Amino acid sequence: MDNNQMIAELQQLINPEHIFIDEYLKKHTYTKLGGKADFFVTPPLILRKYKK
Amino acid sequence: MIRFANKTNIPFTLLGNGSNVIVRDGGIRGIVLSLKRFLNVRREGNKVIAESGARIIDASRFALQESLTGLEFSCGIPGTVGGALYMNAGAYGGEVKDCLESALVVDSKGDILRVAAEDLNLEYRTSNIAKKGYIVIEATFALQIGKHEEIKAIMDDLTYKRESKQPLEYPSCGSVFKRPPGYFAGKLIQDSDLQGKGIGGAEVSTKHAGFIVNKNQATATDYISVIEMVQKTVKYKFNVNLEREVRILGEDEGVTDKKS
Ligand SMILES: Cc1cc2nc3c(=O)[nH]c(=O)nc-3n(C[C@H](O)[C@H](O)[C@H](O)COP(=O)(O)OP(=O)(O)OC[C@H]3O[C@@H](n4cnc5c(N)ncnc54)[C@H](O)[C@@H]3O)c2cc1C
Repeated sequence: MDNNQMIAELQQLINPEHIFIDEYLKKHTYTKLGGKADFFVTPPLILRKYKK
Repeated sequence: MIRFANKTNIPFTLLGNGSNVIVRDGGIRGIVLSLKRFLNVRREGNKVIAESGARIIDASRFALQESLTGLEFSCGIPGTVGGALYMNAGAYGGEVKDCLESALVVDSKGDILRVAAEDLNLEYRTSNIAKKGYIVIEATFALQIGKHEEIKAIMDDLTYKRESKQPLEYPSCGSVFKRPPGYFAGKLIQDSDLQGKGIGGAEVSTKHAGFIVNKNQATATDYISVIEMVQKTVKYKFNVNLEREVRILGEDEGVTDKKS
């Protein structure tokens, strides 16, 4: 699967606003270290149907 | 998401608050999933139920607000609830294991299940969460009714200790090494004269020898090189192996061709 296909499929699952491409991980680590993630995904929690 | 990653064979990495990981300079291929939007913390009886992206600090503050005791130890740990379960985070004599009742997780097939705390094999700074391939969604902490002012006094005291002893003014990942049996990592590093020694922008903290700080625009390579220097020196001087507490993720710069 190429990247465009992958992005298209990801966008079916998750709001595009919550998908970041080539996101620097130094923005998300305490050490402020780290190169890019191909896809950085931050979905909201929508699953509320689980029964204990 | 998990089913999608499984189906497409895309590598999948979970990140909490990034306070116990070092990501290499080449970054991480595939999907990095952050649950930072899973923020809700609520009370049911004497239990605090926290979604995995909430900071464990916020769960402890919520417990204080509700006059529930048991989470005070975690009031200065900068990770998420999910990361705290994964690491069995602990401080000043307390740890997640002491008060966790159960966790709601997604397993490697993408199914949601509730797992009792004893089935997570919570031990010193470890659990079986990675081995089982679980993603923590929510944690239930069983607490006791306490007195607001007493809980607050404990949290204030722990915060004071932390702020006076730890180099919180610099980026770091906290204590880099686990406590070796019979020793203290910080003391071994201090006695090896390593404080203030560094490579590139990373150095062993002069305030707390167990911390390596990003003092001046360090790269992950600098940081990891300092970790290795400390491990080698302590091994040479004291014949003690320092095991990393912090996890290293991703790849070095230029290791693989960037995707087309
Ligand atoms: C200044 C400072 C002080 C610290 N003090 C302490 C201390 O006193 N005690 C202590 O124990 N630690 C301490 N730490 C380390 C760190 O805060 C803890 O280990 C924390 O629990 C890590 O949580 P995190 O969300 O940052 O996880 P991350 O660093 O993002 O991830 C750690 C691991 O947990 C996994 N993970 C994260 N979220 C989930 C989830 N929802 N489901 C499954 N796996 C998950 C990740 O994949 C990764 O493997 C300190 C760190 C710093 C920077």
